[in-house]
Amino acid sequence: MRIGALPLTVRVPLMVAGLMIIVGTIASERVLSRLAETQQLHLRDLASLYLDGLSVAVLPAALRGNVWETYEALDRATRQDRRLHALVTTVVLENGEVLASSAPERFPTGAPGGAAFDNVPTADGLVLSGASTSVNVQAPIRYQGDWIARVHAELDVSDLLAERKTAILYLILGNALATLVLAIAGYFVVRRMLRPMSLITEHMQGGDGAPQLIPESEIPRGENELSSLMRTYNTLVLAERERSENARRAAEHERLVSLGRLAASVAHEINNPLGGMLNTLDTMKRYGERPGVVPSSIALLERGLLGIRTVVRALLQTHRSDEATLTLTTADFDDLRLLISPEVRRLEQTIDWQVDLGRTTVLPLANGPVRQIALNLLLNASAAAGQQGHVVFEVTIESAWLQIAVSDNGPGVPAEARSRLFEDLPARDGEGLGLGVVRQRAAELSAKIEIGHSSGSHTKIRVTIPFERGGEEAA
Amino acid sequence: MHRQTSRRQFLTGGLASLAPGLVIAKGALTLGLTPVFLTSDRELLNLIKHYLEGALGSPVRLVMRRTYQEITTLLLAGQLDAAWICGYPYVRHKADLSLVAVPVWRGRQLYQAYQIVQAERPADDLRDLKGDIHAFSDPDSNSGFLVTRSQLAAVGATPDSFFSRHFFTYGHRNVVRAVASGLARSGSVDGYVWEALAVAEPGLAAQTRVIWKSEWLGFPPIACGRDSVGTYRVDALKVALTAMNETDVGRRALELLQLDAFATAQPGLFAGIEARLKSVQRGR
Repeated sequence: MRIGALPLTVRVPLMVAGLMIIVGTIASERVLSRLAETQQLHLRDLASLYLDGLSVAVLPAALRGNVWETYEALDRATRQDRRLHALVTTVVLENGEVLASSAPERFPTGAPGGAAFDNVPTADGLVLSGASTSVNVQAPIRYQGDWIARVHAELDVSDLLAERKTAILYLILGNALATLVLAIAGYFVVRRMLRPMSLITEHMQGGDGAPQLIPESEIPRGENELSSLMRTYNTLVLAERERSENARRAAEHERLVSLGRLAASVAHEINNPLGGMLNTLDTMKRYGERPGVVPSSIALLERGLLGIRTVVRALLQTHRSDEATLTLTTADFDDLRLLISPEVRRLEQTIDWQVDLGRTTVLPLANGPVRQIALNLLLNASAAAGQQGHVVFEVTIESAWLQIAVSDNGPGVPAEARSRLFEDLPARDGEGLGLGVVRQRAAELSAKIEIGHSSGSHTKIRVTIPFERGGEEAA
Repeated sequence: MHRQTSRRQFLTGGLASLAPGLVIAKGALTLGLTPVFLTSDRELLNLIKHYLEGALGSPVRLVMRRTYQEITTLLLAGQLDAAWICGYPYVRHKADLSLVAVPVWRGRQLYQAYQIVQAERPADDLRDLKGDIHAFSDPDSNSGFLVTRSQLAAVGATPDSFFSRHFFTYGHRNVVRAVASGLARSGSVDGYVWEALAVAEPGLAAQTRVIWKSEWLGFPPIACGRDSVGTYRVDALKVALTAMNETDVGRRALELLQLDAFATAQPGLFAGIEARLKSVQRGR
């Protein structure tokens, strides 16, 4: 599980705990390194004191080359049960020969000191590495300014190392415990602090996806950031509910307005043949007895009625409630052309109609919503293009999508109308009318809406509708 | 003879009364001690001092020096009333010194000189010690130097030519320690001290092994300057020493020293040491 996937109420306390651990580790490291430094300095001081004392003790004997007295001094020094004591002490003469050692078996009197005494540091250069429980150190034995011998000691530092080990153990245990306690406390404190956040989150997600109000009983008492945050949240929820209701009402209103305009257009379309038909009737009344008048009048009436029937059928097709059939055909677009033509004629506009479905005759798409999208786009474009304007209607098929693009040479889509294509906002009268319907229908079909510019600075709205699943093969 | 007897009777009485200053009038009696015995054990020194002060009825000052030579010099210079020295300086300065008393050890006033090596070392006699680092006790010690030196002289050698290196530890116990620790490969030591160590510090003595014992020689004596012979102080000391095993304090001191008693002796007791000295002098 990724850390980012954890809820905030777990993640933040975990981060607090993690920080505690990091701080604890850094603090421990600092203390330990300081301890090591202190111990080293301490060891150097002790070794320096030890060797100084030993040098003084062996000086008279070393000066006279007295083996026994040197040995006695070294032996005594080695036997002393001090905090820092030597395992072996040896006096090496200037010529490199051992005068006496507290371990004569290892360093016999008269033998060359050899490698054991080379490169041995003085107390100032002593390093307590912890790699060994003993360290070698030496100091010159001086007499009247000349050095006559050197005293060499193998110091037992196991006590110091044990002390360091104990300190490390206690420090690690102590710090681990303290860190653990702090981390756990931090976890619960922060978790408690964040509890109201999870309360808000729960209510935000709500039961059915809609944000719910936080009951007053669950809001912390008193005036603090949290109670004010929760109250603000409640205000927002209420405002959102109101806005949604407004938007719903507006959409309804818009649909009606759109429908009214369409009705006016259709009425005009019906009105023309109706006028012709009434004239024909009048002609029949006056000159009915003249030969040839009746048959030609009947033909005229029939043409007129057929025209009305076509318009009515197109209207019915567009707004019929049965939208489930996946049978979009070229005829649907022909109907649209019929429905838009009165408006185009009224405004003396030109329309460039490019419907190319290739060899496909029936598309796996619900024709109702598609027709509503196309019709609303056309009505909107026509309104935007204005008197003697130009509208381009393009329909193409791109593998599994139907693409409808409508462009016009109007002043462009105002920002408000543009946002209405993408957001659920109420429309103002006349501006971008029908675009809300386009958005709703497009959302139902999982279609994508884009606004751009075609050549000749025409405003272009393009809707890409994916074919219904299961119907792709039919395409 | 009569005088001596009455003196002893008087001393015994003095012991009982413990009245200081009655016997020896002028100042404390000074007795020099060499590191001939085990150690400068505080308890032992206190016992000797306590016993002698009780027996003599006068203060006693025990004088200790690091070497035999220092004590011998003080004795010859008249700075000491008497001193426990070694047979070797006694023989060398026989003309100027006189015997006060000689300890009795294991029934005799005799002891031996030992040559020792580390316990596990395979060596049988002096020849095996050639090229060793050798520990001597004191250049004025019979058992700790003269005996080995005369042994070497008998084969035409000297310590310098025979041993790779030799040193003096100024104490028989130190010789044993030097050999036990490995500082020296071999050592010359007083047989009485070695035997006493074997009882008192068996752990230390067990780290060494005796490879050679000398003939029986005169035990280190308590001597006084020739001039002091017959003085009341020295005579009183002689009586006190020879009566040491007659009191609890004295017996306790003797016990610590692992000695039976002190007794008078004749110079002839040291003929053996004299012979050793002569053999060395001839070898020069």
